[in-house]
Amino acid sequence: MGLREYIIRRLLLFIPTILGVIILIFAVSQLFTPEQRASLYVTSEKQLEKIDVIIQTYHLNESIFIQFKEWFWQVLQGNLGYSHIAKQGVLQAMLRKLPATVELVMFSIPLTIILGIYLGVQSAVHRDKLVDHATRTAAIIGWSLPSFWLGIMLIAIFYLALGWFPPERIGSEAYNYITLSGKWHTYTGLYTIDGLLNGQLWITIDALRHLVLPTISLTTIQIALIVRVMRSSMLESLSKGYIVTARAKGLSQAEVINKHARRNALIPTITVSGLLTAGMLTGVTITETVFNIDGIGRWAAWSAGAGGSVPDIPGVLGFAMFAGIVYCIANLIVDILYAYIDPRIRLG
Amino acid sequence: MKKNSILTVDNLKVNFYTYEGIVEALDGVNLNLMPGETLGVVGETGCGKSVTGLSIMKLVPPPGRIEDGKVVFNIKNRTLNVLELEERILRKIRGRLISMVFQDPRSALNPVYTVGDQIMEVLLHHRRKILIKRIIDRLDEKIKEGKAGFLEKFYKKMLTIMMEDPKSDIIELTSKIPFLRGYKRLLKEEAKKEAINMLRLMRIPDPERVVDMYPHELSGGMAQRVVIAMALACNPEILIADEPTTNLDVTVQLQILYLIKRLREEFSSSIIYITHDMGVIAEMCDRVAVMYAGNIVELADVIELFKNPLHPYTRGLLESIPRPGQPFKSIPGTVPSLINPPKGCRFHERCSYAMEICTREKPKFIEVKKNHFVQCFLYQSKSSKKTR
Amino acid sequence: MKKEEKKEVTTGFRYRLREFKAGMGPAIKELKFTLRRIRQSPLSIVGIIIIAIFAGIAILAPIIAPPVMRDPYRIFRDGFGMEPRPPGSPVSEPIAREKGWTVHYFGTAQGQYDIFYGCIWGTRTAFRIGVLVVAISLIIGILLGSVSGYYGGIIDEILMRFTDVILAFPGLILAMALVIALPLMWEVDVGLIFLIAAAFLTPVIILRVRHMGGLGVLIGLVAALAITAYKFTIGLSPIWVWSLQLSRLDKVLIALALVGWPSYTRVIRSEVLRVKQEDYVEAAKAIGCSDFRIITKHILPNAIYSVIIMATLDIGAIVLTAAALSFLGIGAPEGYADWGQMISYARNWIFAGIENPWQYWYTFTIPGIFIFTFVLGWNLLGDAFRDILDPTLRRR
Repeated sequence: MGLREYIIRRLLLFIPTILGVIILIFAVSQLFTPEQRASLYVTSEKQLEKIDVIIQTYHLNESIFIQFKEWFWQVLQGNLGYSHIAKQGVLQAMLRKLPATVELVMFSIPLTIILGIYLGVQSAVHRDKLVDHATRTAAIIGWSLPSFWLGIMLIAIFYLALGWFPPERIGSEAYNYITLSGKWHTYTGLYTIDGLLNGQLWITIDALRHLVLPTISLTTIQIALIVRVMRSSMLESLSKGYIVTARAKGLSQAEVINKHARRNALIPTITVSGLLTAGMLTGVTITETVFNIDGIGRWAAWSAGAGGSVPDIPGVLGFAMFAGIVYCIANLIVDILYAYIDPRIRLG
Repeated sequence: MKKNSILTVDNLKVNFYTYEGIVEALDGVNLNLMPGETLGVVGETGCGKSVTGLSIMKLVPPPGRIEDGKVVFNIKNRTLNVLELEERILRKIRGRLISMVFQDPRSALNPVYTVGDQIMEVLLHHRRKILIKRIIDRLDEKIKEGKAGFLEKFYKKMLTIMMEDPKSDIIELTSKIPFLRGYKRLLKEEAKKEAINMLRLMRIPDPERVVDMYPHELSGGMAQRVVIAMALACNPEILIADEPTTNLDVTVQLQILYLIKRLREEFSSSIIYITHDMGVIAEMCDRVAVMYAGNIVELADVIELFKNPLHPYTRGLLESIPRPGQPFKSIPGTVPSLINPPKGCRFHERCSYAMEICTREKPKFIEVKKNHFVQCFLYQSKSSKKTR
Repeated sequence: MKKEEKKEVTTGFRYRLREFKAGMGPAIKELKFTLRRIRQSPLSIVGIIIIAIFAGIAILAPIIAPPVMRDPYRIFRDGFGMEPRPPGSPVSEPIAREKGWTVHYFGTAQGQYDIFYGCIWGTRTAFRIGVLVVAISLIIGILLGSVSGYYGGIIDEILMRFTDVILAFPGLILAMALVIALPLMWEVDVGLIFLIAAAFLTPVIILRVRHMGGLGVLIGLVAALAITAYKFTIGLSPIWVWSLQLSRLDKVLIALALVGWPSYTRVIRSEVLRVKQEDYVEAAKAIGCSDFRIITKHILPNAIYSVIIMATLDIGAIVLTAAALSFLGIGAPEGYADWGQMISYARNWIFAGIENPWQYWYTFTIPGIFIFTFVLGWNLLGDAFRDILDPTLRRR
């Protein structure tokens, strides 16, 4: 079959799933009253004053099919409603807050995967020795921690007591420079990279300092997932016949592990990486709230009513749709990677 | 100890430390292999044949441990005890001087690499210098004819360095730069040519296509040929074939057997052929060792063994081969558990000739007739020759 | 003289008891082996002990922490002051004193809620949420998963698409949306539900007798869907309506169960698919076992292992998710005995007391330790189960 055909087939499967995501969001939205749903169709605060008009125009009281048509048309045009928390349209709000979240995740995900794979391999190769027990214990502890609690404890220890790593995204000095000085060019929206591009290294370093605790928070909890899968798949891989063959060919233990065992062991790990994305999306919601970072996660938490705010229905639904689509894309990538590494999948 | 044998196994003892107890898998195995011959090792499942094969290459996996004994490899007038060598040297021996063919070709091959990659792996590991030399000679030709460009002269330079010191800094450096690292590609191509050649020698049709296929795309017979190709790629002195045809269809079995026979002439290796099938022994082997519950109980030339089986177990084995028109005969009882093996001779519980001494002591492995060894008290007193 | 023949007893209670014991022989041996493996794994013992301790706390809650309010799940307040008071502070509220409270063992949280009380009764809440959600998901998962896996076909396709869509969302996020969306007051047309159930079950039962179970399920589904569609498009007058009042915690429960059942369904389905291929299932069919018997007696006992592991680990995960929801303020209401809820206000007090950030440590550290230890116990047990119950790894 080949990789190309497999990718095409997989893409064809992707589209109905995305449609399903949209339909499910719609179904959940139907649980709200028409008055609550009105803000899904507007783009500004003022328009909300005439709720009856909105209900009329978009047929919010009529049958499901008509409503779906109306709503779907809005979605295709990019109108996901008005978020009173962000004081903006939902789509605009998400785009504006995306960089903060991306910055957080772009360090956490690679760290989790690379460290997780390494620890998993070590754990399997030195089975039942100290490395193994220590890694597994640490992983299980990480997996058992409530993410919000870990965040709070980290802040209490490393910021309030020791003063090393502050929460939030950037210090006030850097923030003033970025917003007020007029010398700042926003290239990517990511302070770490933009700092370099603007030639202001201190801003990059400041941003990195602020990223340490949230990254640790996210990684500690998610790493257990990777370590566990990598360890068990590595153990299975090491017990297979081709390992003996490789050694009989005269390869060293290191070569056998790295060339033969690990590649096979990566297969289930790649699959699990999809779950990692889900964990990150969830973790980001809590972590951004605890660390007070202005990203999509915190906006979603506030939209849901965190901290006593009035629920922002377009916000919640918009974020759910975003999360669903991102997760689908992640699974798509994972499936393709999986086929790339394991020829048995793409060759049927 | 035979002076001209190429491999001698002397009193090999292997234990497996499992959850349920210590399995005494090999209880003092004695073998020797002469150059150019095919030695069969025959026995029931679980008697320790495969463990013997693995031990010869010091590849016994944990929880197994080689407790005692010697495996002496006699090559180019040097004798090496494999069990005492350090890993670094063993790695040079495995795949190059001693190779192994495994029982299940499917699980012996790594599913995520192509068949070609896996043959090339053993070639690149052991035959790197020869391959590089070939490329350099060809490049030299081209240079002499004046047809070589700058790049090719550069490659030749790189390859010469690589031949001497594959880990030198220059090599590390240039292998990272896209254009300059083309010489590695040349090496891979040369290895691939050799791999295709091996496949062709294995009588695999259309080897250029097969070399890029994955193991799961091949039939059992083809896969086994690939495993044999991997084992013979570096022209080893000794080939250990661990039941290579057991998992294959009967018709394919025959093909593989014929192949091995032909390869025997083409490659002049000495072969240890492990199997449970007496018919294969008769077909393939010059001498045969009969194994039971971790011991070699009889060792003789094939014809002598079939004409004149001495050990009761061997007799039982030969009698149990089904013959048309005759009733089934089998050896009563079952193979003993090796966690708590019976004292004395391990066969005594099933032996119709068992004597009192068999339950107490283990018989020695002695030469009863010329080149015919038995481990049995029936012949103990008759022996006037020295023990091995 | 007639010789009395000695007949072997093949009937009667004694005989049946003997047969039963003989039949259970291998199962008991396996159980003993499993128990021995559990005993040999120190981590699983730690897990069991932790869970046992928490179970003890939950059961003895009324004794350890006598309820003060009418609803024992409401933490009693010692006044209305904002600032939390440290462990050891005296109790002054008269009703509480009457019930035997003299001192706040763990101190008070914002609003003077007793932390000790919250943690003890929070254990009950945690068990309730964790066990209930997992049990519901498990039951739905087994029912749908085994039917889907065993019969395959269109039913399977549709169900898989459906679970795909739900599983396309990270759990907490969908749960968040559902918790907000679910109304507190439900008008449930119970009559309609009975009608749909009847429409589904009738073909299943009739056709099951004739060994066409799959077809029966299909027809039943079509009938059920037809009625549902009819109701929603053309409209049926309500048959028998009940009013349901949900508490906020109930909403969390329902939301988590709605989000949780697809994973269980998928796992059971894939295990059923695997076991379906085994020879002993062929054999059972060959001797004429009914589908129901094959599923319950042969397939499920072999398919169940992965799900048990999953369920054990999931209890911890559910409690964490519920705690996160409470922390965000959309789970348990204020003053409810729920660990996550107690931490939600603690955040203000860490960042407030900059002088000494640890001044109010008890508001977040103690409930946090409860959550962590509880989840750790289940995770240890689940991990141990995974090592022990995997049939391929059982005898190393």
